[in-house]
Amino acid sequence: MADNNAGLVSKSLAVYVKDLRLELRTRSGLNAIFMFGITTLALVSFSLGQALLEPKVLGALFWIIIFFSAMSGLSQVFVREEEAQTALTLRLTADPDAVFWGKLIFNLTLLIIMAAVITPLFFILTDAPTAGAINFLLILVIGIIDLCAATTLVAAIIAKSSVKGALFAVLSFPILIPILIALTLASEKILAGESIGEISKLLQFLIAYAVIMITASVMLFKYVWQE
Amino acid sequence: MWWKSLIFLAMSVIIWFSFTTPAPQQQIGEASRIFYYHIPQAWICVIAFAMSAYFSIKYLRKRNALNDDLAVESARLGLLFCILATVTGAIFAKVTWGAFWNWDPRQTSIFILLLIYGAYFALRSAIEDEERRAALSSVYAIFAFVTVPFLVFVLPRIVPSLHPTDSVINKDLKFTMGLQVRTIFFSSLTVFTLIFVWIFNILKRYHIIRRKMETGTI
Amino acid sequence: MDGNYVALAVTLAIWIGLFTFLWRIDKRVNELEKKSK
Repeated sequence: MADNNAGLVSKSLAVYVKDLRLELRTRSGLNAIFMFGITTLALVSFSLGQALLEPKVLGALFWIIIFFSAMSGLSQVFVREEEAQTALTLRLTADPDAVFWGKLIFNLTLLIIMAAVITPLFFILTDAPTAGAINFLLILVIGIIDLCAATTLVAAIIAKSSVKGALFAVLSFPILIPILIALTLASEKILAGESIGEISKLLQFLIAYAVIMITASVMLFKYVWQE
Repeated sequence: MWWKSLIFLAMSVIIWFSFTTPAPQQQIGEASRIFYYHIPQAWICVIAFAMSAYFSIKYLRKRNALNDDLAVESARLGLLFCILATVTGAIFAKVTWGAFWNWDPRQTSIFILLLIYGAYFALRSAIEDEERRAALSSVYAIFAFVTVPFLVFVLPRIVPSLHPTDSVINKDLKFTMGLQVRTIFFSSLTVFTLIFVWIFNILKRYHIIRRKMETGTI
Repeated sequence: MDGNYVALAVTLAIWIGLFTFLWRIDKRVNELEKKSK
């Protein structure tokens, strides 16, 4: 029994490392996400000029940037396999669960790297209050996990369809709205200086969402993956 | 067949009484009558979605094409009732609160449902192969349905007083739903459900015949 | 109060139309079923 689990972890890591290596070589995913994030951030900062923004707007803008960056970069983890025609090999050689976990962690890595750069820039450019920085980071991490939890399965679903990019956003958005609302609300409160106790309900919601969506994804993934 | 005539009578009676009895909610006035129709529509919309997810699960288990047909038809009906619910809700919002749309939790939820239905059909239209289309859209229907409990139960509770108007309405209706209002409302709910069952039954029989004719078996 | 009666008439008309439509389709499907037996 323990053997199986260890097997899954190492297999997932194998998938993850493979994608990571590929990404480091081509940087296609990172490029997409970064370009989108930086461009959106620049646009926001430029249009607002010196205007001081209230927490509500800051929260919303931040998550808009993260969300759309995610939309531009998170689908390629599966689409790339199909386009490079390596998908078949992967299907034959890897355990579906391992594929899912590996891709999930890969997407997490992409978003975390992007967020690590964009978040400080965001705070600098908008002069947002940094009082509750740690809490904000906590929300950010949970939010990223939620985003990946919901979108990895969707990415697999659209990988073999015809209008991939647009379809990815169309399918992801409705599923993500609940957490986008929660994330924006939580960020707003933290930026407004409230303590973490104020948002505990939101955090529970966000964590529950991550757990449930990942569980559902794991159970459904094999139906998407197998031919 | 006889029960269908009963549906006709029942619905006609309900419509009659919905307009001739005193308005269910005095503060809002006449516009509150729309609740006899709006809430059952929203209710059916969610039921249809659940059915679509149910048939999707059945399809993934047994790969029986009929199950996919039924999942699609449930989704179509769900979309229809979702549009109806959104429209009647928006009309009510305009009349009572002045704006067609204000993003309060319930309106947001019905909007999300609309998007999910739209996404489901967009996905289906983007896949050529019948079996892949059925499998992938089944997965999506189930996956999207998992978010519904979050939408319906959790979200309204954690999003704070954005608009008290909606909760006031619901609370009020529950408190002041006199016997007469309650009777009409629950009758409407029942009859709407029966209408939905009837329509679904027609579609189901149609698909059974169609599958039979195509393949010789179901 | 007049508005109510208009709404009542319109709703009833819609319902009667809808019901007739459904009834007809139901019949057609019935015939199809008998044919394919």
